[in-house]
Amino acid sequence: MSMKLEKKFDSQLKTWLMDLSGEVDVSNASALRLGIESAFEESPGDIIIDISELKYIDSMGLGNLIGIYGSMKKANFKLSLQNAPDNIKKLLTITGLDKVLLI
Amino acid sequence: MADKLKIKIPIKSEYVSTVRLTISSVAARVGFDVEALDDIKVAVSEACSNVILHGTDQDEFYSVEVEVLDDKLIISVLDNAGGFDLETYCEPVLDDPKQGGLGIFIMRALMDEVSVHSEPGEGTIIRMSKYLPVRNS
Repeated sequence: MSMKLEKKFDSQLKTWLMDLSGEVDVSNASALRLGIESAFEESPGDIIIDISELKYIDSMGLGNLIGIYGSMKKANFKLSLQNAPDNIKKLLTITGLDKVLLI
Repeated sequence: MADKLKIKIPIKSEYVSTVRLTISSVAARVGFDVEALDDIKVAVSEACSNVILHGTDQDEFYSVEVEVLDDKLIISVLDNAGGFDLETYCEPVLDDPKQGGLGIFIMRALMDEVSVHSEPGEGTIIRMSKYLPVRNS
């Protein structure tokens, strides 16, 4: 089980551009959350995560993403996912998270 | 007669991917397509995560059984890890997503049949079926 989160802050857009790849489940969902939250704390801004190379995610990963989305929303920032593969788009649609997370 | 496989796994998150891949390889062998394999992988992972999240160390292992029938696969995830109160389970509100409660909802959406039986203080049995696509001969 491996997951990779690459992070780059675009200071002009004041936005984090991240690439999430690999697999996210109960074994590493907390590490994903910590990785995203630490970036946000370092430089608060919107976050756009490209998930085109994400092979697998389940409710543990999605739950953590929606948790981060909720806390960022309270601070008037936005977390978005883009380029979801079909299998992950299906999960986002089933759970209704496509409406709040997908761009 | 149906083939039946049974695996016993430590209640540890690092083995969930092993279970997921094992069950999906059985499903691939009996003819499920790629989309159905993805559904099965997620559903199995959700059931295993449920054991890990709700387990109370009453047992160190849980079991996953797979029954291969002519028309479907039946996957059962069984634990003696303490169970949980199904009465407290709330389906997620899709217009107002929250962090918890997605697991059982996702299993029910991806599999053809899902039953959850849990006894607080005892354990949980999650039984899921996925029908094979009808083949035209």
